[in-house]
Amino acid sequence: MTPLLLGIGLLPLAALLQSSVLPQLPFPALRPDLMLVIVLAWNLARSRTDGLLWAFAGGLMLDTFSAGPFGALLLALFVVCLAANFIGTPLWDANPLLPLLGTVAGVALYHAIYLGVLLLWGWQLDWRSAASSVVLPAVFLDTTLMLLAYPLARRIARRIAAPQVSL
Amino acid sequence: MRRFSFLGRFSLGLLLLAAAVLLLALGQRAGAGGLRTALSRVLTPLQQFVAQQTLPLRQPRSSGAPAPVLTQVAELQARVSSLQGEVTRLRESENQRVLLAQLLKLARANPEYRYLAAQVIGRDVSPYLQFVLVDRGRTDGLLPDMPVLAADGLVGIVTEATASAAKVLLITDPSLVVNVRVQRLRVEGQLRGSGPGLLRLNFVPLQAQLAAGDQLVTSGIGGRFPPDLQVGTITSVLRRDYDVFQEADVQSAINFANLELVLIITNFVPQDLAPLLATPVPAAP
Repeated sequence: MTPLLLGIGLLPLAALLQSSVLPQLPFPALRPDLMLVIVLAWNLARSRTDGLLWAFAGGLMLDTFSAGPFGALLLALFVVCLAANFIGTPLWDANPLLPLLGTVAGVALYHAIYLGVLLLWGWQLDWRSAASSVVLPAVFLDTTLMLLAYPLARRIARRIAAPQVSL
Repeated sequence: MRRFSFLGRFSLGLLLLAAAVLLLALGQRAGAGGLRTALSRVLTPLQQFVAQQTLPLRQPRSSGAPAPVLTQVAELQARVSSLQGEVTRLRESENQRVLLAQLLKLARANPEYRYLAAQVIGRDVSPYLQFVLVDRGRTDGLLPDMPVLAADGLVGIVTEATASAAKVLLITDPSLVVNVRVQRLRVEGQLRGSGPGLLRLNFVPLQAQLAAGDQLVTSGIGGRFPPDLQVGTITSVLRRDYDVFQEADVQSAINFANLELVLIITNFVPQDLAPLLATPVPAAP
């Protein structure tokens, strides 16, 4: 299975789960950014072009299911994944805590960019409540999910892709 | 080789970043709107399917049985599981029947409007925006600005409709203002969302003796919503002597987290009052 095929199967599923299934679970306050966790885990585990394509496609799907400015979730997701991708897998692999710290920073950056776009576009929001009731739980929840997602992504990345040989 | 790979990745990254910024800048214009519509055409049927399959998630679940240790226990568990599935389906049918009966009652109470029932198939993926997606669209006659109701009152307003689905802005979103009237006192104010499931009543004159339990209905002022639709109940009042207006927290009877079926009023035409509100320019001497 190639990363592209994996993405074609996984990303629409993540978007559908985030839009239609997770909001129905018994704890409405606990809504993880599933797409962000999956795509970020892939970019942390595998610094290649497919991670960027996943981020772009995943962001487009999220924007389709959102009534916010089209491209806002795409931009937020892509910037975070671009940073993780450019920093590179060798650094993320250097210490088991680094991917988690990267996730904390990534989730905070994702929400900051998205809120920034909403602010620029003139959306009415209760900013103080947004920070306390959405961003902080999201950082905690997404980082917890990353404890599962990152090792899984690493395992899959190693299985489906041969290591690159430098000449 | 590795350097070439990084340069290729770097170029692709910058290219896609530029594309993301461009899409955001274009916003709702033809190009980006077309892309969103095309994606929606592909993903909405999938979303409708997923929403149908996950309806039982909205039902309360029974606690799990202990792990089977004997074959007979396993068989009985399988049977129980099958019966539970049947019960869940029947319970779901009963819930749907009750909901539809409530909606029918609401429709009969306001016979001047034409209604279209729609099922909620998704919620906004952004936790900051209070929108739901419904399974009716332009082919069913849905248009932006149509008011949306549930059995217990006003839900929101249609903001965007594709061929087969529509986005509904909930009254709990801070960007939607609803002009309301306190039924008991006949005074008016403005209602605005203040977070998930929360509503705040503003601009009520200080002289009005608001009290917990007062019912709010739409006033019809502004022309955006029909008058006399149930909106919510005041739960607490915030009155300060030095203010001109008082505020109140309002609780809607609708559980927005578990919204399943809604009614859309299709024959209400919102009135555009903007030309009438323009500041008159004094004539030159």
